[in-house]
Amino acid sequence: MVTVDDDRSDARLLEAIGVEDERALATLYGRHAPWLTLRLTRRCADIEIVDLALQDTFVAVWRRPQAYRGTGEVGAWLWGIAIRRLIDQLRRRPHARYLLTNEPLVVSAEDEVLVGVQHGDLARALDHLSPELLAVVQATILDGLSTREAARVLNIPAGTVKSRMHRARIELRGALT
Amino acid sequence: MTDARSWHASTELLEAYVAGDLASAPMASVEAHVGACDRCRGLTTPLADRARLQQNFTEIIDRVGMLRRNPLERWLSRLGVPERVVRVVSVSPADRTPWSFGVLVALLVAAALGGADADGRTMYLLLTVAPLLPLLGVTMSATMRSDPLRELTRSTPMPQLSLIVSRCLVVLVPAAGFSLVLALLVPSWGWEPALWLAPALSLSAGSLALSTWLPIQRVAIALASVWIGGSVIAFIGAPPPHVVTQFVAFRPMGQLALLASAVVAAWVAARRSDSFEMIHAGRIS
Repeated sequence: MVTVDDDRSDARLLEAIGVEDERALATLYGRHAPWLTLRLTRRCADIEIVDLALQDTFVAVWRRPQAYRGTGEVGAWLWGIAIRRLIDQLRRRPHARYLLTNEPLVVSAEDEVLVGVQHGDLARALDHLSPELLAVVQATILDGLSTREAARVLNIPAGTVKSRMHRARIELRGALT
Repeated sequence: MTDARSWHASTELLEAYVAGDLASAPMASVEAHVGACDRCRGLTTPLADRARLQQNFTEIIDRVGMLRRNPLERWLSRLGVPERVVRVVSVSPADRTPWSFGVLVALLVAAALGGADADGRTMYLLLTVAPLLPLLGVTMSATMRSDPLRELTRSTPMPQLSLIVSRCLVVLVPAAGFSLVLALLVPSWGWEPALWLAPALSLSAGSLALSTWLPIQRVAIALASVWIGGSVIAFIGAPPPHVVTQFVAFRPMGQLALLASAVVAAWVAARRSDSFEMIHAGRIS
């Protein structure tokens, strides 16, 4: 089943999927499904919902592989689909929640070494944002959601997303200068 | 500055990520990197649950199998018809064929009899019967207990109203096209072969609107009776060459009134669409 021995590029695989090549879908799945699953799991703790979102993602890819315009990483494009499919799944289940970084926001020195983030200032600044601001930064910048989509998953008005984003920018800028 | 290509996540870092032990900045770093880096993506593969991945893939292949497109689907989606409508419309040949067939046969018979139809009676009969076919189709779609599409609609939840409307349109649009072609091919008829469209729309939309209050079978029977009754009454004593224009429904004012009523009925049905059931997972009859 999930084979990765096919050495076509991701973009080539999408072209092949366009002419209904199931093997190409299997290869693309083998390459991307693991990290997508892991990343989705960091957004939603419910395994079943993550699985459905993952399936929806690849079914969507099968339907419209031409939606990939050939620019940018296929991985980033897949994530864009996956996060939206996850949000769709979450919307159907009012109790399930979009997870935010709920860990206490302390950066250990060890983490920084591990990550090797040279912009230590940025990392520290990000981790010192209030949970509200961080949630907005996460949804918009890291997950690539639009203001409206972020507003929906975070359950706050779109105007609030914008103003929090603005404040987060000011704080980050302040921390870096 | 770290070059994006020289930095890679270690297995320990990825494990910490999977366990949820990273603070937001390293977490963001990992996420931004892994999606774009073949090497680090490879490292995540052993961290994911293999059986679960396999299971998900099987489900995907099952769903993809249902998605293989037939020519009609390709054509519809090239026209820009939304994907979910394409799916629902095209995978229901069972209820599409009889009506398309009915309408087309009626029109073909009329075409074949064209020369002999000097007194306009065949045309009159045709124009009376044709609008009943879409009405029948609407009723069937709305009352079908065992939906062959259940498996499919499970993955594309869709209000029953849109389902019914989509199915009507896929019949009405080609039939309308055919009527127009016929009108052009037999010039002596003028626009007569197209006169059934307005009553067809009005009856179908009307039955949907009224079915938000009453059972649709009763509504359909009532509307069909009114239509046939009106047609018969208008026919009695009609002078042979101008039979068609004897029925008010086939005169310009009547056609306009029918179209207006179709619009109003469609609006009512859409406003009250909550009273139609949603077709979705778990509704097993």
